Amino acid sequence: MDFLKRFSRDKVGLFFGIVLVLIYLIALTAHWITPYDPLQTDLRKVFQPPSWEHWLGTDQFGRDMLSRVILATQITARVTGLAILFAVITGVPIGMFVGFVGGWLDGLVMRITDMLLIFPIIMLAIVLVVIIGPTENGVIFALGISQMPQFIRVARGVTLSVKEELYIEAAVAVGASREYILRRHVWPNISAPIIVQASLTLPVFVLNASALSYLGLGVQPPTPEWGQMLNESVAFIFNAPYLMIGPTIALFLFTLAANLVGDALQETINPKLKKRK
Amino acid sequence: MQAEEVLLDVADLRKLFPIRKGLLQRVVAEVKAVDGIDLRIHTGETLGLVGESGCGKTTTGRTILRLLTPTEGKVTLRLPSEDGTTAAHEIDLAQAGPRELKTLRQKMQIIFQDPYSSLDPRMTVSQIVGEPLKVQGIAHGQERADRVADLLQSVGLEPTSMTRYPHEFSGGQRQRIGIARALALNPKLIVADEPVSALDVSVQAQVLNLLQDLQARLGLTYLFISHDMAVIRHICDRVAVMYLGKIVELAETDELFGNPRHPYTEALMSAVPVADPGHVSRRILLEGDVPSPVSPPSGCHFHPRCRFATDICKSEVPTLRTLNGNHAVRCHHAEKLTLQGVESE
Repeated sequence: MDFLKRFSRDKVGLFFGIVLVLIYLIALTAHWITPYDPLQTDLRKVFQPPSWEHWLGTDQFGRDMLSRVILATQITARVTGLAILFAVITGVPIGMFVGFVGGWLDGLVMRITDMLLIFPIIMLAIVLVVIIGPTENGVIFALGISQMPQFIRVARGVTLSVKEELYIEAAVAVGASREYILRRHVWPNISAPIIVQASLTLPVFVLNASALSYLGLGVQPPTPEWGQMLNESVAFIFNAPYLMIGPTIALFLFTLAANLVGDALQETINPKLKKRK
Repeated sequence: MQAEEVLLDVADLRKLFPIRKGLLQRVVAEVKAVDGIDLRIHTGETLGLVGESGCGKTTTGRTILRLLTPTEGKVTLRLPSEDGTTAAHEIDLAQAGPRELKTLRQKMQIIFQDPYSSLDPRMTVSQIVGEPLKVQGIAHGQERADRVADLLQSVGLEPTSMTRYPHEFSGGQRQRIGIARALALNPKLIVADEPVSALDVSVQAQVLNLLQDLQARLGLTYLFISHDMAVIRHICDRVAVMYLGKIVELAETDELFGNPRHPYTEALMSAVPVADPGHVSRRILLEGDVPSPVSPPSGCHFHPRCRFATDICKSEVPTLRTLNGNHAVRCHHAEKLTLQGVESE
């Protein structure tokens, strides 16, 4: 509760926190709040400019853009959320373990993560999607793997400092096993930085998921995705420029809100960062 | 307290920390933190281990408890059989395997110096105190909760504090929580590693008295590590003085304080302030710093700082000799020196 109080003192963070909550509400309720069926084509209604009937207009197949943007919100939220979950579930235990055990295993894993970190996320993700195939699961896996090294590093770093704490030695002194110590002492004490890292990863994933689908490597049509919608709208940029408005604003808002909430979270957990700005 | 039964027998315990350098991490030198310690702790007594910082007293305590693996030596824990009919059970702690060690941890516990970082900030008091019972699989559910409440009561804390977190308590209260945790498994031996050094003087006395009460009530044996001569004198039956990883003197408390036989002990004692304005202090100032335990001086480790040092001290390592009765000292000239003790209280 103390945490929420401190977080809400940051007005920017609070505002975009609410925006982010709204975005997720839209994502959750997408199937009920879309005004039209986002997949229903209607060739009598192609390229309609924004109107009261179709707020964001209709595309080349006569599909309602607003409905498509709303459904795409759900897909983006799901893909990025699962990708973060994947990166956390795979990266954090590895980082905790090698940080706690140390030795040659630690050195080996760190060198491998260093190698993975050399590649820009998008490049790694493209290679992985090409290997796995451009499906929703492929994108989740590719994004997750590409950011897993970050989670390994963060988890290892905080584990290194937590393992020097006296309460770890106290647990050893009563006969606790390594597995028990990692689960009951290390994990609760490193969870805050992990949550911050996850929130900072969210905007990166939102952008990269869209970038992949812009390149045709993401979710396949007819399922709507912001990047893929933007890609399609480029062809009609002169006769139907309004097609870009919806996906652009949605992408912009989601990324901005996720970024600022991530920063605010980090400052709440580590207030020293704030003064430096 | 003159129980003659030996609970813990430490023989030639050594703990070296290698210093590694370079790409291949070659061992270039070793820190001799504990350099051949022999100790016997009797059931029910409090043995003090005193020395200045860096002399290896904490490492000794941790190595005995196998929180650190000894480089060499034997640590024998002698556990009397439950019904008293069969012979005592002896276990070498230094050799115990993981499973055996886990069971043995029920018999020996540690109280840490720092009551702030020794309690997990994410756990409630009942989780902290109940953890030993949980890890060892001794008590569950309501039984565990009852035991935790009992333990808290026995260290003078309200059972209502069970649901609170460590940061809600003062240093003295936190140390009580640490003590309750150490008692949870009904240990025989408790290594108290500077248990009061981090506390206010007024709180120190309370915690020391609590430790003495608990000892009388539960028949505990303490290895009491401290740098504070006044505290040591107050609580210990026998005292071992450590210098640079070795014990230089070991005697009963009154004997050691009244009649020190090692120049280092004398210097340590002259540093204890006396609460008497008319007292003319005759402080013996030691020159120089504690030598590095990486390359200790030749012969007697203390000779560069000793005002009685002669040629033999530079060349020959003195052994720990027993003088009259139970007074052991590691000095070539112990018989010839007249050293200043402290008047009895």
